[in-house]
Amino acid sequence: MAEEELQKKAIKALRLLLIETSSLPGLKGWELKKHLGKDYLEAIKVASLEADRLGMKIAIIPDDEAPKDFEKARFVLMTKEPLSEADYSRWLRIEEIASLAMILVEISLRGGSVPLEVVMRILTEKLPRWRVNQIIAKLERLGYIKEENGIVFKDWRSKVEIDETGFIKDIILYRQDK
Amino acid sequence: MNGKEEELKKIIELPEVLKKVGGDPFAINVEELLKKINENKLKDRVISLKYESQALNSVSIVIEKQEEWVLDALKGLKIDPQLIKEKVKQMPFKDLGLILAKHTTPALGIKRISRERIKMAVEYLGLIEPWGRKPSLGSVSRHESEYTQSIVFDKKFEEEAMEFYEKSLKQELEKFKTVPYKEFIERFNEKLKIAFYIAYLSNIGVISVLRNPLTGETLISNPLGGEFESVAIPFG
Repeated sequence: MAEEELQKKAIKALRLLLIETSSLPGLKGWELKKHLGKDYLEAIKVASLEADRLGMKIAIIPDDEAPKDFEKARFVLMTKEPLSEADYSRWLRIEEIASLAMILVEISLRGGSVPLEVVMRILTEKLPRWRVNQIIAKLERLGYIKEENGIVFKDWRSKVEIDETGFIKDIILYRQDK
Repeated sequence: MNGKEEELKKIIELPEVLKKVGGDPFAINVEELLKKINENKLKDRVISLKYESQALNSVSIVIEKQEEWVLDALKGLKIDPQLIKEKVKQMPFKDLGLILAKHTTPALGIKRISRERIKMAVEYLGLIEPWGRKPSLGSVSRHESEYTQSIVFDKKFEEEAMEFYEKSLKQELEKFKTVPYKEFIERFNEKLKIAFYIAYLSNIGVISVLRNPLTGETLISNPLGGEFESVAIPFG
Protein backbone atom coordinates (compact mmCIF):
# COMPACT_ATOMS: atom_id res chain seq x y z
CA MET A 1 0.00 0.00 0.00
CA ALA A 2 1.32 3.45 -0.90
CA GLU A 3 2.49 5.44 2.07
CA GLU A 4 0.08 8.29 1.38
CA GLU A 5 -2.88 5.95 1.10
CA LEU A 6 -1.90 4.22 4.31
CA GLN A 7 -1.67 7.57 6.07
CA LYS A 8 -5.15 8.50 4.84
CA LYS A 9 -6.53 5.20 6.04
CA ALA A 10 -4.85 5.67 9.42
CA ILE A 11 -6.54 9.06 9.89
CA LYS A 12 -9.84 7.55 8.82
CA ALA A 13 -9.31 4.74 11.32
CA LEU A 14 -8.79 7.27 14.12
CA ARG A 15 -11.95 9.09 13.16
CA LEU A 16 -13.93 5.87 13.01
CA LEU A 17 -12.65 4.81 16.42
CA LEU A 18 -13.40 8.18 17.98
CA ILE A 19 -17.03 8.38 16.92
CA GLU A 20 -19.31 5.99 18.74
CA THR A 21 -21.71 4.13 16.52
CA SER A 22 -23.10 1.85 19.21
CA SER A 23 -23.38 1.86 22.96
CA LEU A 24 -19.75 0.73 23.17
CA PRO A 25 -16.73 2.81 22.18
CA GLY A 26 -14.50 1.70 19.31
CA LEU A 27 -15.16 -0.84 16.61
CA LYS A 28 -14.79 -4.54 16.00
CA GLY A 29 -12.01 -5.68 13.65
CA TRP A 30 -14.51 -6.75 11.01
CA GLU A 31 -16.08 -3.28 11.03
CA LEU A 32 -12.69 -1.66 10.49
CA LYS A 33 -12.00 -4.14 7.71
CA LYS A 34 -15.26 -3.13 6.05
CA HIS A 35 -14.30 0.58 6.14
CA LEU A 36 -10.55 0.36 5.55
CA GLY A 37 -10.06 -2.76 3.48
CA LYS A 38 -8.37 -6.06 4.13
CA ASP A 39 -5.08 -4.43 5.16
CA TYR A 40 -6.81 -2.63 8.03
CA LEU A 41 -4.27 -3.89 10.55
CA GLU A 42 -1.51 -2.00 8.69
CA ALA A 43 -3.61 1.15 8.88
CA ILE A 44 -4.16 0.56 12.60
CA LYS A 45 -0.40 0.34 13.13
CA VAL A 46 0.08 3.76 11.51
CA ALA A 47 -2.98 5.09 13.36
CA SER A 48 -1.34 4.00 16.64
CA LEU A 49 1.66 6.20 15.86
CA GLU A 50 -0.62 9.15 15.07
CA ALA A 51 -2.62 8.52 18.24
CA ASP A 52 0.58 8.44 20.26
CA ARG A 53 1.49 11.94 19.06
CA LEU A 54 -1.90 13.16 20.30
CA GLY A 55 -1.58 11.59 23.76
CA MET A 56 -3.79 8.64 22.89
CA LYS A 57 -3.33 4.94 22.24
CA ILE A 58 -5.25 2.17 20.50
CA ALA A 59 -6.10 -0.82 22.66
CA ILE A 60 -7.16 -4.17 21.23
CA ILE A 61 -9.60 -6.11 23.38
CA PRO A 62 -9.66 -9.77 22.36
CA ASP A 63 -12.97 -11.55 22.05
CA ASP A 64 -13.52 -13.99 24.93
CA GLU A 65 -14.60 -16.77 22.55
CA ALA A 66 -11.89 -16.22 19.91
CA PRO A 67 -8.97 -14.45 21.59
CA LYS A 68 -6.65 -14.73 18.57
CA ASP A 69 -9.13 -13.49 15.97
CA PHE A 70 -8.47 -9.81 15.22
CA GLU A 71 -11.72 -9.46 13.30
CA LYS A 72 -13.68 -10.33 16.41
CA ALA A 73 -11.52 -8.17 18.70
CA ARG A 74 -12.63 -4.67 19.65
CA PHE A 75 -10.33 -1.76 18.81
CA VAL A 76 -10.66 1.17 21.19
CA LEU A 77 -9.06 4.59 21.29
CA MET A 78 -7.87 5.55 24.77
CA THR A 79 -6.00 8.30 26.55
CA LYS A 80 -2.39 7.49 27.40
CA GLU A 81 -2.48 9.41 30.66
CA PRO A 82 -4.68 8.36 33.58
CA LEU A 83 -7.56 10.47 34.80
CA SER A 84 -6.66 13.60 36.71
CA GLU A 85 -8.47 14.55 39.89
CA ALA A 86 -10.39 17.18 37.94
CA ASP A 87 -11.55 14.63 35.38
CA TYR A 88 -12.59 11.81 37.61
CA SER A 89 -15.66 13.48 39.03
CA ARG A 90 -17.04 13.67 35.48
CA TRP A 91 -16.35 9.99 35.02
CA LEU A 92 -18.37 8.36 37.78
CA ARG A 93 -19.73 9.55 41.11
CA ILE A 94 -17.39 9.07 44.05
CA GLU A 95 -19.40 6.23 45.61
CA GLU A 96 -19.55 4.52 42.22
CA ILE A 97 -15.78 4.66 41.76
CA ALA A 98 -15.19 3.48 45.31
CA SER A 99 -17.67 0.62 44.83
CA LEU A 100 -15.93 -0.38 41.61
CA ALA A 101 -12.60 -0.27 43.45
CA MET A 102 -13.94 -2.52 46.21
CA ILE A 103 -15.37 -5.00 43.72
CA LEU A 104 -12.12 -5.08 41.71
CA VAL A 105 -10.06 -5.73 44.85
CA GLU A 106 -12.35 -8.65 45.77
CA ILE A 107 -12.18 -10.07 42.24
CA SER A 108 -8.38 -9.80 42.18
CA LEU A 109 -7.93 -11.38 45.59
CA ARG A 110 -10.29 -14.22 44.74
CA GLY A 111 -8.54 -15.08 41.49
CA GLY A 112 -10.90 -13.52 38.95
CA SER A 113 -14.46 -13.81 40.25
CA VAL A 114 -16.58 -13.10 43.29
CA PRO A 115 -20.10 -14.22 44.24
CA LEU A 116 -22.66 -11.45 43.81
CA GLU A 117 -23.87 -11.97 47.38
CA VAL A 118 -20.36 -11.16 48.65
CA VAL A 119 -20.29 -7.98 46.55
CA MET A 120 -23.69 -7.03 47.95
CA ARG A 121 -22.56 -7.72 51.52
CA ILE A 122 -19.40 -5.61 51.19
CA LEU A 123 -21.11 -2.69 49.52
CA THR A 124 -24.18 -2.64 51.75
CA GLU A 125 -21.83 -2.15 54.70
CA LYS A 126 -21.15 1.28 53.22
CA LEU A 127 -24.22 2.16 51.16
CA PRO A 128 -27.99 1.50 51.22
CA ARG A 129 -29.11 -1.56 49.27
CA TRP A 130 -31.11 0.40 46.69
CA ARG A 131 -28.02 2.48 45.87
CA VAL A 132 -25.84 -0.64 45.64
CA ASN A 133 -28.31 -2.15 43.15
CA GLN A 134 -28.16 1.05 41.10
CA ILE A 135 -24.37 1.12 41.13
CA ILE A 136 -23.99 -2.53 40.15
CA ALA A 137 -26.44 -2.03 37.28
CA LYS A 138 -24.52 1.05 36.10
CA LEU A 139 -21.11 -0.64 36.32
CA GLU A 140 -22.53 -3.57 34.34
CA ARG A 141 -24.02 -1.26 31.73
CA LEU A 142 -20.73 0.59 31.30
CA GLY A 143 -18.83 -2.67 30.86
CA TYR A 144 -16.79 -2.59 34.07
CA ILE A 145 -18.24 -5.79 35.53
CA LYS A 146 -20.42 -8.63 34.32
CA GLU A 147 -22.56 -10.99 36.30
CA GLU A 148 -23.27 -14.55 35.23
CA ASN A 149 -25.23 -17.00 37.38
CA GLY A 150 -24.64 -15.04 40.55
CA ILE A 151 -20.89 -14.69 39.96
CA VAL A 152 -19.30 -11.30 39.21
CA PHE A 153 -16.35 -10.99 36.80
CA LYS A 154 -14.35 -8.11 35.38
CA ASP A 155 -15.73 -6.98 32.05
CA TRP A 156 -13.91 -5.54 29.04
CA ARG A 157 -13.67 -1.98 30.32
CA SER A 158 -11.99 -2.93 33.59
CA LYS A 159 -9.60 -5.18 31.69
CA VAL A 160 -8.57 -2.52 29.22
CA GLU A 161 -8.83 0.73 31.20
CA ILE A 162 -7.52 -0.21 34.62
CA ASP A 163 -3.94 -1.06 35.50
CA GLU A 164 -4.72 -3.69 38.12
CA THR A 165 -1.13 -4.18 39.30
CA GLY A 166 -0.61 -0.48 39.93
CA PHE A 167 -4.00 -0.19 41.58
CA ILE A 168 -3.42 -3.06 44.05
CA LYS A 169 0.11 -1.83 44.71
CA ASP A 170 -1.19 1.61 45.67
CA ILE A 171 -3.83 0.06 47.92
CA ILE A 172 -1.07 -1.83 49.70
CA LEU A 173 1.07 1.28 49.98
CA TYR A 174 -1.81 3.47 51.14
CA ARG A 175 -1.48 5.17 54.50
CA GLN A 176 -4.44 6.85 56.12
CA ASP A 177 -2.27 9.62 57.59
CA LYS A 178 -0.93 10.73 54.20
CA MET B 1 18.48 3.95 80.40
CA ASN B 2 16.61 7.21 79.77
CA GLY B 3 13.46 7.67 77.68
CA LYS B 4 15.30 8.84 74.59
CA GLU B 5 17.62 5.86 74.67
CA GLU B 6 14.60 3.54 75.07
CA GLU B 7 12.88 5.04 72.03
CA LEU B 8 15.99 4.53 69.91
CA LYS B 9 16.42 0.94 71.17
CA LYS B 10 12.82 0.19 70.19
CA ILE B 11 13.55 1.38 66.67
CA ILE B 12 16.76 -0.65 66.53
CA GLU B 13 14.87 -3.81 67.53
CA LEU B 14 12.04 -3.28 65.04
CA PRO B 15 13.30 -5.63 62.27
CA GLU B 16 13.63 -8.47 64.80
CA VAL B 17 10.13 -7.80 66.13
CA LEU B 18 8.77 -7.71 62.59
CA LYS B 19 10.48 -11.02 61.83
CA LYS B 20 9.02 -12.68 64.92
CA VAL B 21 5.51 -11.29 64.78
CA GLY B 22 5.15 -11.05 60.99
CA GLY B 23 2.33 -8.97 59.54
CA ASP B 24 2.16 -5.83 57.55
CA PRO B 25 5.44 -3.85 57.47
CA PHE B 26 3.39 -0.89 56.23
CA ALA B 27 1.86 -0.67 59.68
CA ILE B 28 5.19 0.95 60.58
CA ASN B 29 5.32 4.62 59.71
CA VAL B 30 8.83 5.20 58.40
CA GLU B 31 8.46 9.00 58.39
CA GLU B 32 7.48 8.84 62.05
CA LEU B 33 10.54 6.71 62.86
CA LEU B 34 12.89 9.16 61.16
CA LYS B 35 11.29 11.99 63.08
CA LYS B 36 11.80 10.11 66.34
CA ILE B 37 15.47 9.45 65.52
CA ASN B 38 16.00 13.16 64.96
CA GLU B 39 14.15 14.16 68.12
CA ASN B 40 15.85 11.68 70.45
CA LYS B 41 19.46 12.82 70.25
CA LEU B 42 21.48 11.80 73.34
CA LYS B 43 23.80 14.09 75.30
CA ASP B 44 26.87 11.94 74.68
CA ARG B 45 27.63 12.61 71.04
CA VAL B 46 29.50 9.36 70.42
CA ILE B 47 26.77 7.17 71.91
CA SER B 48 24.14 9.24 70.17
CA LEU B 49 25.83 8.68 66.80
CA LYS B 50 26.11 4.95 67.51
CA TYR B 51 22.39 4.65 68.35
CA GLU B 52 21.43 6.88 65.45
CA SER B 53 23.34 4.81 62.91
CA GLN B 54 21.90 1.55 64.30
CA ALA B 55 18.38 2.99 64.26
CA LEU B 56 18.79 4.22 60.68
CA ASN B 57 20.04 0.79 59.69
CA SER B 58 16.90 -0.73 61.21
CA VAL B 59 14.72 1.72 59.32
CA SER B 60 16.44 0.76 56.08
CA ILE B 61 15.73 -2.93 56.86
CA VAL B 62 12.06 -2.08 57.42
CA ILE B 63 11.94 -0.25 54.08
CA GLU B 64 13.60 -3.23 52.42
CA LYS B 65 10.95 -5.49 53.95
CA GLN B 66 8.23 -3.20 52.68
CA GLU B 67 9.61 -3.47 49.16
CA GLU B 68 9.87 -7.26 49.43
CA TRP B 69 6.32 -7.33 50.68
CA VAL B 70 5.09 -5.30 47.70
CA LEU B 71 7.03 -7.48 45.29
CA ASP B 72 5.54 -10.60 46.85
CA ALA B 73 2.14 -9.05 46.60
CA LEU B 74 2.59 -8.23 42.97
CA LYS B 75 4.08 -11.57 42.05
CA GLY B 76 1.01 -13.49 42.96
CA LEU B 77 -0.72 -11.75 45.78
CA LYS B 78 1.09 -13.99 48.27
CA ILE B 79 -0.10 -11.78 51.05
CA ASP B 80 -2.91 -12.14 53.43
CA PRO B 81 -5.90 -11.04 51.35
CA GLN B 82 -7.71 -10.20 54.53
CA LEU B 83 -5.18 -7.48 55.18
CA ILE B 84 -5.90 -5.73 51.89
CA LYS B 85 -9.63 -6.19 52.34
CA GLU B 86 -9.42 -4.57 55.76
CA LYS B 87 -7.43 -1.69 54.32
CA VAL B 88 -9.99 -1.16 51.59
CA LYS B 89 -12.81 -1.33 54.09
CA GLN B 90 -11.24 1.37 56.23
CA MET B 91 -10.23 3.66 53.40
CA PRO B 92 -12.29 6.81 52.87
CA PHE B 93 -14.33 6.60 49.64
CA LYS B 94 -12.55 9.57 48.11
CA ASP B 95 -9.08 8.07 48.62
CA LEU B 96 -10.21 4.75 47.18
CA GLY B 97 -11.69 6.52 44.16
CA LEU B 98 -8.57 8.60 43.63
CA ILE B 99 -6.33 5.53 43.66
CA LEU B 100 -8.50 3.81 41.08
CA ALA B 101 -8.69 6.94 38.93
CA LYS B 102 -4.90 7.22 39.04
CA HIS B 103 -4.67 3.82 37.34
CA THR B 104 -7.45 4.35 34.83
CA THR B 105 -6.94 5.40 31.23
CA PRO B 106 -10.44 5.85 29.84
CA ALA B 107 -11.62 4.72 26.44
CA LEU B 108 -12.58 7.64 24.21
CA GLY B 109 -15.74 8.03 22.22
CA ILE B 110 -17.75 10.89 20.85
CA LYS B 111 -21.46 10.52 20.44
CA ARG B 112 -22.84 12.18 17.34
CA ILE B 113 -25.99 14.20 17.52
CA SER B 114 -28.21 13.43 14.61
CA ARG B 115 -29.85 16.22 12.65
CA GLU B 116 -33.23 15.05 13.88
CA ARG B 117 -32.09 15.24 17.51
CA ILE B 118 -30.73 18.77 17.06
CA LYS B 119 -34.07 19.78 15.57
CA MET B 120 -35.86 18.26 18.55
CA ALA B 121 -33.53 20.14 20.92
CA VAL B 122 -34.14 23.44 19.16
CA GLU B 123 -37.88 22.93 19.30
CA TYR B 124 -37.65 22.04 22.95
CA LEU B 125 -35.54 25.11 23.73
CA GLY B 126 -38.18 27.21 22.03
CA LEU B 127 -40.86 25.77 24.27
CA ILE B 128 -39.30 25.92 27.71
CA GLU B 129 -39.49 28.92 29.97
CA PRO B 130 -36.28 30.41 31.28
CA TRP B 131 -35.23 29.51 34.83
CA GLY B 132 -37.34 31.48 37.28
CA ARG B 133 -38.48 33.58 34.29
CA LYS B 134 -35.47 35.79 34.74
CA PRO B 135 -35.33 38.59 32.19
CA SER B 136 -31.66 37.93 31.52
CA LEU B 137 -32.54 34.62 29.94
CA GLY B 138 -35.62 35.95 28.25
CA SER B 139 -33.66 37.00 25.23
CA VAL B 140 -32.68 33.41 24.57
CA SER B 141 -36.28 32.30 24.76
CA ARG B 142 -37.57 35.17 22.64
CA HIS B 143 -34.85 34.69 20.14
CA GLU B 144 -35.51 30.98 20.01
CA SER B 145 -39.24 31.23 19.53
CA GLU B 146 -38.69 33.50 16.53
CA TYR B 147 -35.91 31.38 15.37
CA THR B 148 -37.52 27.99 15.67
CA GLN B 149 -40.53 29.25 13.75
CA SER B 150 -38.48 30.06 10.74
CA ILE B 151 -36.85 26.94 11.36
CA VAL B 152 -33.49 26.04 11.38
CA PHE B 153 -33.43 23.14 9.04
CA ASP B 154 -35.13 24.60 6.06
CA LYS B 155 -33.19 25.75 3.04
CA LYS B 156 -32.87 29.24 4.44
CA PHE B 157 -31.08 28.02 7.52
CA GLU B 158 -28.73 25.90 5.47
CA GLU B 159 -27.90 28.87 3.26
CA GLU B 160 -27.38 31.11 6.29
CA ALA B 161 -25.11 28.54 7.92
CA MET B 162 -23.02 28.18 4.77
CA GLU B 163 -22.85 31.95 4.37
CA PHE B 164 -21.71 32.22 7.97
CA TYR B 165 -19.06 29.61 7.29
CA GLU B 166 -17.79 31.40 4.17
CA LYS B 167 -17.72 34.82 5.84
CA SER B 168 -16.70 34.12 9.42
CA LEU B 169 -15.08 30.75 9.79
CA LYS B 170 -13.44 29.59 6.60
CA GLN B 171 -10.67 32.18 6.54
CA GLU B 172 -9.81 31.63 10.19
CA LEU B 173 -9.57 27.90 9.69
CA GLU B 174 -7.32 28.41 6.67
CA LYS B 175 -5.12 30.69 8.72
CA PHE B 176 -5.03 28.95 12.13
CA LYS B 177 -6.12 25.33 11.30
CA THR B 178 -8.10 25.18 14.56
CA VAL B 179 -10.26 27.77 16.30
CA PRO B 180 -11.17 27.51 20.01
CA TYR B 181 -14.92 26.87 20.09
CA LYS B 182 -15.71 28.84 23.23
CA GLU B 183 -13.69 31.93 22.30
CA PHE B 184 -15.18 31.92 18.82
CA ILE B 185 -18.78 31.75 20.06
CA GLU B 186 -18.10 34.51 22.60
CA ARG B 187 -17.37 36.95 19.77
CA PHE B 188 -20.99 36.96 18.64
CA ASN B 189 -24.10 38.41 20.19
CA GLU B 190 -26.35 35.62 18.96
CA LYS B 191 -24.35 32.87 20.60
CA LEU B 192 -27.02 30.21 20.43
CA LYS B 193 -27.61 30.83 16.75
CA ILE B 194 -23.89 30.52 16.05
CA ALA B 195 -23.80 27.32 18.10
CA PHE B 196 -26.55 25.92 15.86
CA TYR B 197 -24.62 26.92 12.78
CA ILE B 198 -21.53 25.17 14.08
CA ALA B 199 -23.48 22.06 15.05
CA TYR B 200 -25.09 22.01 11.62
CA LEU B 201 -21.82 22.63 9.74
CA SER B 202 -20.20 19.90 11.77
CA ASN B 203 -23.08 17.54 11.13
CA ILE B 204 -22.85 17.93 7.36
CA GLY B 205 -19.06 17.57 7.45
CA VAL B 206 -18.03 21.10 6.46
CA ILE B 207 -16.09 21.44 9.71
CA SER B 208 -15.18 19.18 12.62
CA VAL B 209 -15.62 19.89 16.28
CA LEU B 210 -13.10 18.14 18.48
CA ARG B 211 -12.59 17.89 22.19
CA ASN B 212 -9.11 17.44 23.53
CA PRO B 213 -9.65 14.79 26.24
CA LEU B 214 -6.60 15.92 28.19
CA THR B 215 -7.34 19.63 28.42
CA GLY B 216 -11.09 19.53 27.95
CA GLU B 217 -10.81 22.28 25.32
CA THR B 218 -13.21 22.16 22.37
CA LEU B 219 -11.82 23.14 18.98
CA ILE B 220 -13.30 23.78 15.55
CA SER B 221 -11.20 22.44 12.70
CA ASN B 222 -11.41 21.58 9.04
CA PRO B 223 -13.16 18.23 8.55
CA LEU B 224 -11.02 15.28 9.51
CA GLY B 225 -10.18 13.24 6.43
CA GLY B 226 -12.24 15.63 4.31
CA GLU B 227 -15.25 13.37 4.14
CA PHE B 228 -18.84 14.07 5.03
CA GLU B 229 -18.45 12.53 8.42
CA SER B 230 -17.97 14.68 11.44
CA VAL B 231 -18.99 15.25 15.00
CA ALA B 232 -21.33 17.63 16.70
CA ILE B 233 -21.10 18.68 20.32
CA PRO B 234 -23.81 19.59 22.76
CA PHE B 235 -24.24 23.35 22.73
CA GLY B 236 -24.49 25.49 25.84
